[in-house]
Amino acid sequence: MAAKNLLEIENLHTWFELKKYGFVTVGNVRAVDNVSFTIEKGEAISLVGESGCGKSSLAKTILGLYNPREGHINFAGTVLDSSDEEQMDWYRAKVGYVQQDPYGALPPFMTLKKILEEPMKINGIKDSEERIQRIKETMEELKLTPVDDFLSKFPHMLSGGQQQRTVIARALVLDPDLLIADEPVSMLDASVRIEILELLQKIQHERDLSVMYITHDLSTVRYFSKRIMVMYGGKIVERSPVGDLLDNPAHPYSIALLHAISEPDAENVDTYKEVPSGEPPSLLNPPEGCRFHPRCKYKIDGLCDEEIPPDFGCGMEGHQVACWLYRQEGEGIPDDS
Amino acid sequence: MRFFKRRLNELKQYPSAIVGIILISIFILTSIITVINIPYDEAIRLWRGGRVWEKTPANARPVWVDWFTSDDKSRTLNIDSTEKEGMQIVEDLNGLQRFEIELPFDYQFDGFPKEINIFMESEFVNNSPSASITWITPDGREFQSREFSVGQSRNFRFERDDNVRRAFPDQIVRQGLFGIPDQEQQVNKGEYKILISGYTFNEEDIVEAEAVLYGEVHGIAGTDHRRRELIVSLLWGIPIALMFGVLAAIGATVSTFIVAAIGVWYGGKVDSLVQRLTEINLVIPLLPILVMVGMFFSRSLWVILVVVILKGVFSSAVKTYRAMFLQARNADFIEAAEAYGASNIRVIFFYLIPKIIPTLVPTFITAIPVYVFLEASLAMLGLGDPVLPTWGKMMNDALNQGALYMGHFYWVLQPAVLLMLTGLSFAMTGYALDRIFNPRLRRL
Repeated sequence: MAAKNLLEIENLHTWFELKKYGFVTVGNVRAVDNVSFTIEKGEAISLVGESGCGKSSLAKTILGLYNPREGHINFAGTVLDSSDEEQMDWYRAKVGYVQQDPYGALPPFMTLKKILEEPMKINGIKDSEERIQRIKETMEELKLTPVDDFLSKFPHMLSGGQQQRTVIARALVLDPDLLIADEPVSMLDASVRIEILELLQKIQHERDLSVMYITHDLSTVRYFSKRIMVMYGGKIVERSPVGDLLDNPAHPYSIALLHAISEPDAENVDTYKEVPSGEPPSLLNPPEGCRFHPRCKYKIDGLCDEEIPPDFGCGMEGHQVACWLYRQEGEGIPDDS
Repeated sequence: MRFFKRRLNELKQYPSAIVGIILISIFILTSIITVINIPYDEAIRLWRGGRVWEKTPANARPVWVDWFTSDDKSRTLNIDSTEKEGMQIVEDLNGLQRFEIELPFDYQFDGFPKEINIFMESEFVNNSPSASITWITPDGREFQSREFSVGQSRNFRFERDDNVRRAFPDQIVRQGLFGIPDQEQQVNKGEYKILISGYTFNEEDIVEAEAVLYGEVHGIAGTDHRRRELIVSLLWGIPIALMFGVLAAIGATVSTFIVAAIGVWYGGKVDSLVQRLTEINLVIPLLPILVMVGMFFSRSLWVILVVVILKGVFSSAVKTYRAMFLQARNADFIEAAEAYGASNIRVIFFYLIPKIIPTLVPTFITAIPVYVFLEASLAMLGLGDPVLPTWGKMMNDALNQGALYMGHFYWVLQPAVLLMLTGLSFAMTGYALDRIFNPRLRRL
């Protein structure tokens, strides 16, 4: 089990304290609230959700940029301890990070050679010839050719697609086991998106890489992930194989999300897109019970607005949903005592 | 580096920057030549003054003043017997030798010399040679001094000699010697001759003489009340001013920059500490502190430099830089660097600071003259380094001697012009750099 799962996340909480006068805590922003999931070696999963639902906070907690308040991250059989610098250095070299805005992600004052060398310098690859060799291999893999032409260029001399490929190259140059791609194509032209996604897919297969693909755009998840998780208000509300979710969404929020996909189809002219009313929940004072209940039209009074729903199985194997609508008889409801 | 090269190439579009850079280059080149030709110890020795300067006039105007006046000002003339025929024995009187030294010179200036001195030296076996000096004018008049013993060295002045003084009862002696009789203030131009004649008491005795006619104008930059040639301090002022300005600017601006970056990066208590220190530092005035340090502690240039830098670390610029760093610290590429394991120090120096450094360059350049002026002001207030020849020290001397009241304008004018040129050159370069590095100011 431990050998199969590359990453195991258990009860992860990432809360940001809000302070007054510098020391009085007046509240917590619960960006990630009790999230557990696993990624197998070589597996690609997608994480979808609207803006502000905690997707990026989850990614950054996994990357070690934020310290979790509770819970732990188990990577390749090792439970991470954020105070153990040596262990974190080893871990950071094993996890690649691709950001949303390729231009912002590349230091504007460094050449591509320097940008791609940095992760290796920091992680102790001292031989400059070895560094160049690895840079060349990675760049060829990402079709940044001819390599020598690119090495001396600055990021602003590249096109958006080339910039994003450089970002991916930087993430891959240390040969990581896990790649976290935080909306890697949302800032790119539609024409370049497919190219980048196909490239990511190809690399994922060739390198047997685990990928966590974060997006708010359901139309791109089909490209390479097998499993999908839907996040809402800091919690994962539904997890499922991709096809099953896209065909049979279970959670009311997932249904709404799927409705919102715009397909370039002439028939859509007359269809009315139902969007759930209301706003995303405040993560500072999240609603009691199910976070979605204020916007949910299937709300069960006295249950959804009081008790947090556990995961229920539904439909296909591996399809789980945190919604009271799918409760089985006598399951999940805690005793009121 | 290429980034900076490209930016520097853009400088060519700004004529003011070209002028500024040329001026700065001239300053740097002159400093190098000065330091090579007049080494530090030599400069200190010259500036300490004393006998080194006995052959230059006091308070003489610079030579360039002569270019703007209608009459021909007198220059300094040195007539040295060792360069002429030297001592001639004219008669041998049985163990007693009569000698003569002739010092001829051609005097064609309109002005009288400021002073006349004849420096004499002799080497003798038993008794000191004796001599008397005869002044022969172009029209053949002769004035002879009393006979005196030369000794090992003697400084002869006609003003002090009774015989010569008696010849000009109601006239300044040197005007009498050079003037046309009955025509005061008119110089009798022509071939003069100073004839030194006397006796030596041994065949091997040697007498040497050098006549110095001190000019009204002397040297490129004139001289001060202690006969020092001002060119020494004008030239040596350049490396000192540049060094002080550059070191203080580096010390103050760069450290401020790093402090602001560290405060922003670590945030929280470190940031608060940096900010509170800055605010406290802002209400402490610099000049009184420097005056106190100068009065009670030390006036060494290095001490002043250290105080200026320490005072400059938490300057108001911390606030400006902080605003820039706060914007930069949230950049995606910094987050990425953290994700691949860059240490705090590496993030600060390799990611955060390079992002903002383009704005530091013009600030740094324009800060240099500020510190040059500061050093000059301190020296002018009498708190400058007492040993070093600097522009501020020169102006302090000039003030103390009432130079402007006495008409020695060159004494103040020359260092002031150099100070202005320094300020101008760095300002012109700095503002052009500011336009290049700050895109918002750039002309379309």
